Amino acid sequence: MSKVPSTWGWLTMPLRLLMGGLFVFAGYVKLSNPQLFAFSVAAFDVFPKDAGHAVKLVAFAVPWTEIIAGTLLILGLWTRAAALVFSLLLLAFIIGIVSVLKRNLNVECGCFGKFEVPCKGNLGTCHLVRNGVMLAVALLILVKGPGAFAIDREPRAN
Amino acid sequence: MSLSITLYRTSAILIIAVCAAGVDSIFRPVRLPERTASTSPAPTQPPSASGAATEQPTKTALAASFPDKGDITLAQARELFSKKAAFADARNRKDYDAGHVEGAWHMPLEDFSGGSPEAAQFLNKTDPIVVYCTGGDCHASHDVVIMLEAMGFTRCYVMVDGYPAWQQAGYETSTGPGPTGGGQ
Repeated sequence: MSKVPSTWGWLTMPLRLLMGGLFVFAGYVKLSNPQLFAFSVAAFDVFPKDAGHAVKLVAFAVPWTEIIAGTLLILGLWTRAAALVFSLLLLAFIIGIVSVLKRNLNVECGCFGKFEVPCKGNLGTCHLVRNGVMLAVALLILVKGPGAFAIDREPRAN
Repeated sequence: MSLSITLYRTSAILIIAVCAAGVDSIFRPVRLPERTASTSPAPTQPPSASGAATEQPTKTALAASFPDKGDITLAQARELFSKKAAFADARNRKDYDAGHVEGAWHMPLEDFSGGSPEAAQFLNKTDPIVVYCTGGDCHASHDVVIMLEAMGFTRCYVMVDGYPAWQQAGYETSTGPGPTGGGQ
């Protein structure tokens, strides 16, 4: 751990904690009722009709990924890897949302269960912006590292 | 830190997550709705001429060939309506308030996220319940049926044509809060 974090270190630390906490919560909400999230995944209609097993696996894999990577982000352990995971996940979400919007499908997000803040209702531009902002934060952490109060040992940035 | 280490760790996180997901999905299986592109076959008997309910209770006087559950046509839904079957609207609150099948409960999918929706406690699990949304590619009604069946409801139907078809047919509708004054 860096003895004296850089300016970036103090900036990325709260973002890392916030993002980690957010995704752990999102994963917990999804896993507390996997059936509902499976409906959301199926509603994206991106899997072939006979690939129900893939939909079910994704319905469980996404929240487990969020919980594991989110926990790592909070701890500041394997931080860049966790940030890369979230970058890929958010990129996939964004592509999925764009696909849904282009096909004019009515799909509930299912991202945070009943706690859809600040975006309510069906997937729309708000969700795109929200995920875009989170993607930017994930990329920042990926590039700048864990920042202060992390288990990872990072060379001090000058 | 080298890129390769980050990539190895990223792969490790994803592999662990997928393994956890695989195990979890075995112990907590989920169901997916069977999408229906078109409506089910026409009813073997014409619906009642009047929408006003004249027969009670709900589970009587249906044709023997009437399905026990599953997708039904608009006419079949109307027949159940005339027998005073319960209706559940799976659309969002705004759409529901703008207009719904007369007497229908508001039961969107998100109401199941905290357990069972409030409306479910007023319904008999062995009586027919017709769920609908907007028809077309709307999947919410099938999803709600899966949730209801998981709660023990045995005769759940999906009016696949959805509310627009009901409204277009000139059948009974109402606006604003539902049977319990919007508390559902």
